[in-house]
Amino acid sequence: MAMNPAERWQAVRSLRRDAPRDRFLQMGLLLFVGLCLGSWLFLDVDLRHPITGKSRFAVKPTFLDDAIPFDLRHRDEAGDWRLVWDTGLFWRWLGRTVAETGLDPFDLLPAEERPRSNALADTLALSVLAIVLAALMSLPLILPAAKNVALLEAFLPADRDVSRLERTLRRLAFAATRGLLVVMRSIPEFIWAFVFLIAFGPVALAGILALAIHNGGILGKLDSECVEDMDLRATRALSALGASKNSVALVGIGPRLMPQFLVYFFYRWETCVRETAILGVLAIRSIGFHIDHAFAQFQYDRAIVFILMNSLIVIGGDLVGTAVRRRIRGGGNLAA
Amino acid sequence: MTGTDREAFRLEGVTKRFGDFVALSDVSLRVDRGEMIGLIGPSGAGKTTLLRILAGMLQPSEGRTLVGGHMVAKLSRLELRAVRRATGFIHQSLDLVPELRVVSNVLAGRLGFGGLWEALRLLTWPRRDDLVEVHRCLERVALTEKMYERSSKLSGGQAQRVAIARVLFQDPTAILADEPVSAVDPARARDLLEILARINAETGKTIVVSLHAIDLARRHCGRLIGMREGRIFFDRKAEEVTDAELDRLYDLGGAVT
Amino acid sequence: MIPSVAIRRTWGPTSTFLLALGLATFLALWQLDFLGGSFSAPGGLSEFRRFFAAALRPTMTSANTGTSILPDLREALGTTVFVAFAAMGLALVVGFVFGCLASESLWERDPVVMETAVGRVAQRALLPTWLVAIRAVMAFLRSIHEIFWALLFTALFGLSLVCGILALAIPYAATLGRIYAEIIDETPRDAARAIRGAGGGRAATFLVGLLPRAAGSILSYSFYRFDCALRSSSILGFVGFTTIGLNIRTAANYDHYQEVWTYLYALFALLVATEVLSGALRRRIAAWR
Repeated sequence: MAMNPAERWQAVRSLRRDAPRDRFLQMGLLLFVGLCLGSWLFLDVDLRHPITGKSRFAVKPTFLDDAIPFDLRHRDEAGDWRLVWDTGLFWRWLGRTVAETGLDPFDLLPAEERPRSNALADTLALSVLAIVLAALMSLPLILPAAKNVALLEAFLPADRDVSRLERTLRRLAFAATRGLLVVMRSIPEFIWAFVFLIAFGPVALAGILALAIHNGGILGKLDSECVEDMDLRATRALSALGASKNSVALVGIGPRLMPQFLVYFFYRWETCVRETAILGVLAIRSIGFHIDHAFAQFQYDRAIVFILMNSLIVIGGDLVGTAVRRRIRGGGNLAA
Repeated sequence: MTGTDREAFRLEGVTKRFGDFVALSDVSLRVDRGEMIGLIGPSGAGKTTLLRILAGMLQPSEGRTLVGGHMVAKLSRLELRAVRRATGFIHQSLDLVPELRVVSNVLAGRLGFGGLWEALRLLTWPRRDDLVEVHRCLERVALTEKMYERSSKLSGGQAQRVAIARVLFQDPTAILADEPVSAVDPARARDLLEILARINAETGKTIVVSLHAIDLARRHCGRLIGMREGRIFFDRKAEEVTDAELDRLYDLGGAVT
Repeated sequence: MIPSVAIRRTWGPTSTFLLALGLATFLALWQLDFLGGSFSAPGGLSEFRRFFAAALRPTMTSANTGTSILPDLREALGTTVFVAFAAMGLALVVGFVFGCLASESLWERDPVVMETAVGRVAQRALLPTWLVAIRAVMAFLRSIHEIFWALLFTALFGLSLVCGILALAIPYAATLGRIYAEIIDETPRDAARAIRGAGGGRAATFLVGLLPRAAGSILSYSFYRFDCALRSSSILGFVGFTTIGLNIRTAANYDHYQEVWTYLYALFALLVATEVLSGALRRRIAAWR
């Protein structure tokens, strides 16, 4: 009965060899982590200039000079820019720079220089319209993309007894909806915007549509997964009362999905605020337009101010979103 | 016989409050080395709190806890860890890490002996001697074939035995078990208590086990402590406990005066 | 009487939300001058038609040189994937450290250890301050979009690929850190407490009792972020890095719409394939748990 240590070790080894494992997952993980960390070995870094490396355009880094607030710059004897601090001038410069985005409560800019519209408000407006449109787009796709509803797995046997043709059609519709959602979400909003801008020209609609398609795809996926995770036994009792399949789905599932729907809605809205800004790079008038413009003209002092302004609304959106999500359900893990 | 060197645990006037709720009030108790004690009483009597205080996992609101003659409240962080290493605890909820394999969960019993490095070693490449020892511990609970199974795949009774194997691997001088058989069927419950009783008899480890099943407690424990509403209701040898006392212990309507 | 009761009962948070949303939508439309009906596209329909006609006829030959664009395409895709992996590598490491440091569970105090004056100050004052501080730092790093980080780094150091990787890694590390911390804090702590009860130290308890329980969600989220990193990496090309976005932008600037569509299709294929693969891995993780 009693085994000696060597025998035990043999037993342990054979147990370890026969341990259940998921090779696909193991390999996938190993490959993923390996490539993430290993890619650094292949990075072509010139150790003398670790960051600049092989620059394709040899730019003299004038960043620090140009990052000095314009009104505080003075040339020294050598002809280089030097920062000369003056609190009053600094605030005046800051106020006027901010005012150029349309945020000018103190009328710092003369009327003819004042921009027509407030870039921060535009950014928020774009993000709101985008997320509303995204939610509207996702709504008709949620149930057809939820396996348990689309393929009738969650319904009573009587309801599942459909013709072979309907079953085939349902399978096709399910696959098509899933595919549509994958395409919608896997293409970045920026690329969508780029395509629409070529097609429509520089109008806000292009940006809204781009954000809406990408986020609609994500919302559709998250919400349909939520429906798939639902225990629909209680819901399907409704169909025993004679309700049709569609009304069961709408009445029984809609209200139960609502809290999670809102959580995802606000989560994606936060992302929308962040992404709206970069559409400015494509000449859609959000705060990012001012950032891109300042960079293009090497006005790094103004670029930094605009970036910080953008940070403020992104963080603001974050706080609002987090607070709302926490209210909806205690806590808000986004790792969906 | 009554010397302090034979003493495993001592509580002196221990009261424990959670907010307004009094879980234990003025409990005094002495446990000698090598005893096997059954802790019985209705739900909410304070059994779990008592065990957690004995294990140095809770600090009493009033009174003193002594483990092996050391005052728990006076211990430094390192000394407290040493005291805890010498006390094994089997939780009601078992508290295995379900994502890890059985072997890792058993190895976790000795995490008190090392730091970060030991923990990394446990998760990646455990020592051969340790693995052999884990195998031996699992053999004592008749579960060697599940050594590399994932803990989430175990049944309630198997998880319970892994929790015991973990304590065996820890090799403490005392084992505290909180409702170890509440989640398993009667036959498994008897097996588990027999395992505990055998450990007590063969290795002389002190064992304090809280139980709902009174017949099991009477059969396997040398001494029974009845608890009710945070107080010790009786504390005597198992064979001296009368049925009338047990009825009163569990009688919810009866006045306890 | 009865109707008013009925109305009060149906008026719930959902109605409030819909009302607020309607109001916000109206304000947004007003802000963007949509209410005046200015939907018309200045580009005109001819450009629209030309662009989408090209979608049906993607080309493999460059209109500029007459040679195949396949080598360009291959290199651009390779760079895109490389930047995504390298950025994720850095972001995973930094984000993991961020996540652990920003989680409350790591700093959870042993309730039995003697309360010293230093310990009390650390717990009551330093810990909340620390958590707020590190979360604020992460929120700030995250709030600047990778495109803007890229513009900043380009201005500072030039258009090296390392800048692109850093630009991507910084906001990603912050996002990963925030989510990792949330995951760790939502993990049940009972197993960790059991290990601590057996004398385990803080680091060992965290590593064995908590992290394995959180690992599934952490990995799953990391895969999802890799999909995002690949998307962001392709976009970095639009500000000058040598990922596929640069090819798309250049071809579009020359009005070579057929080439644009070739690059777009290749990018779509790459992104969809990655999405499907990472989805499969995430499902495996869920099943394995």
